[in-house]
Amino acid sequence: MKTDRFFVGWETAPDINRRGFALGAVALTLGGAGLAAALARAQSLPQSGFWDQGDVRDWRGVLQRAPYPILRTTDIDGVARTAFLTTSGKTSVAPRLPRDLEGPVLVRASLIRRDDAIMLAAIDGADWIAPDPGGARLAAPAEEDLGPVFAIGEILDAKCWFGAMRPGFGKTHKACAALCARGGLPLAFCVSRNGVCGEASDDPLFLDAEGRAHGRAIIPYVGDPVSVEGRLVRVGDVTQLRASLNAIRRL
Amino acid sequence: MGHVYKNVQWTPFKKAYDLGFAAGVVAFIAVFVAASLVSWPAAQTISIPQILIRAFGACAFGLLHVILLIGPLARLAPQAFLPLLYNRRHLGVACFVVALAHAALATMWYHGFSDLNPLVSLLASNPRYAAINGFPFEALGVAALLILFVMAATSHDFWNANLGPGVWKALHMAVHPAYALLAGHVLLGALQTEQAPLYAGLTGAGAALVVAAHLAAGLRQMRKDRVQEPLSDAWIRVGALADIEDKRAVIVTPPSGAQIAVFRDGETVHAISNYCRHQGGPLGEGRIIDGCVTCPWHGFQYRPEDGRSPPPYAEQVPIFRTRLEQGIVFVHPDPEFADARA
Repeated sequence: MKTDRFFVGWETAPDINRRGFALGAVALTLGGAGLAAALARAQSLPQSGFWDQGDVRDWRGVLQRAPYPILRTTDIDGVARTAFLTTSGKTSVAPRLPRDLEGPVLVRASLIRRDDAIMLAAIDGADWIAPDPGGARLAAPAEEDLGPVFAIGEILDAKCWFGAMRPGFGKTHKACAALCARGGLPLAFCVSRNGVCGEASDDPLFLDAEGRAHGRAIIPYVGDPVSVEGRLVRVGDVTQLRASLNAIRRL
Repeated sequence: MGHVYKNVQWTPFKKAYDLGFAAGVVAFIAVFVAASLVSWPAAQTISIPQILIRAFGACAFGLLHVILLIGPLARLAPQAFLPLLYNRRHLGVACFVVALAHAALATMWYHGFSDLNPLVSLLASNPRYAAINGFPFEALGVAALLILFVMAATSHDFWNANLGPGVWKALHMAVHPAYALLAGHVLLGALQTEQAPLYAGLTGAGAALVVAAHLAAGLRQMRKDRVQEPLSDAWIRVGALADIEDKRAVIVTPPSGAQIAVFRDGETVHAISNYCRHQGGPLGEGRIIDGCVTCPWHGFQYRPEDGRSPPPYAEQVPIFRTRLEQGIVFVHPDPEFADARA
């Protein structure tokens, strides 16, 4: 005999195929969970890098103000390295540098590191940096011109690139990179390899043709696929890509 | 017309429904987060906030697909899918809440921690509306979220009753533009960075499924909506009484005016408007229960004799005159209560 089943939701015991409904709910939940696993597994490989904000230490080195605030230090692994200085946010530490401070300093900060790319995030407050009269005086490295270069990739902020955000590139990160550029953070050039930006950790710092920080005029290009014609310059352990604004082409 | 407001009645079915989809949402997000964390070495994993942003976003977009599919599937296979329609508004509110979590976290993470207001950054940091690859996809997400908010905020029957079923339904049809905006948000945002074929394939398959289900339900409805011409005395021939299932109806589409549901109740026939006062549900697809025509969507009831809801409820739908001659049913297309036309 045919059953004229009719569902009325407000009834205490609605006329419903309970077994079918329960099985459907279980299937939908399991299917959703399986889909979630597949979507998560299909995400592209994030870059390496880390930032343990809870691990605040004192770092000794020599302060350098240009092109960005830098600490030349051997505290990382005994080798003289360039550590860019930043705040805990998307703003430059430059306005917080005491005007007359130079030479050896002691910086209280947490480490952001991606392989040999290093940044120190200063603690909040005025006592983040202090003179270090007994500190070693590391010599400023010489510049080495590596010649002209044409590169395709993406201009982005070095802080996220070094590990503050993983991944710290691509369309969804564009607004963040623009904010960091607006805040005066160091910029890097993420070279696209086989159409993918983000695999290598030795991408260059991005500066203007004279080796100075780009101003806010760079912001419209940040986070977009671009090509750049410029020069590669090595300064100690940091490679710089120097290019003027008019050498940037949006792709 | 008056309305009687009552506390939400948490029937066992409602509890099971909400518990079921809440478990599904939690399972989706938990599995997404866990699978993201174990996919790479600790030093290479995606930042936790970014994992959560992606999990919430994918979950909300998936939920919206489910919500959009329930309507047409309930028309195509009522016995299987009508129970899902009953509490669909709960799913809609859940979708908004998950989407809001995605938006709040993304705004904080990508647009916060600077001296610029995060909302200013969100809406004004990228003005490249003329470019496909540079398009500010965030604006599409904001627009969709606003629509989802309005729908969630007006989901209660209070708004349905005060706006009227026509306005309320039109407002909630905005779910379709919201879906289009979200598809654009995904295509011009995440899919420009994440290039695994699974993402593009699923987005395309989801859209195809939603469109196909709506087309199938629409085509079926068009076939059912064939206009029935009246006889010379204005009455419309419905058909043989024996061909109408007891306690059920056939739907008549007059040349002008709204559709009529002609019910058989034993050896008698009654005709009432096909449109429920609640949300415009198809009364003709309902059934007579305890002597009342019962809407298949949310169980609103009307007495077939006078079109009124049984006390204490005060809704009313138009009724129509019927005639039974030698086993053939006729209906007159002029409503008896013109002031209460749905």
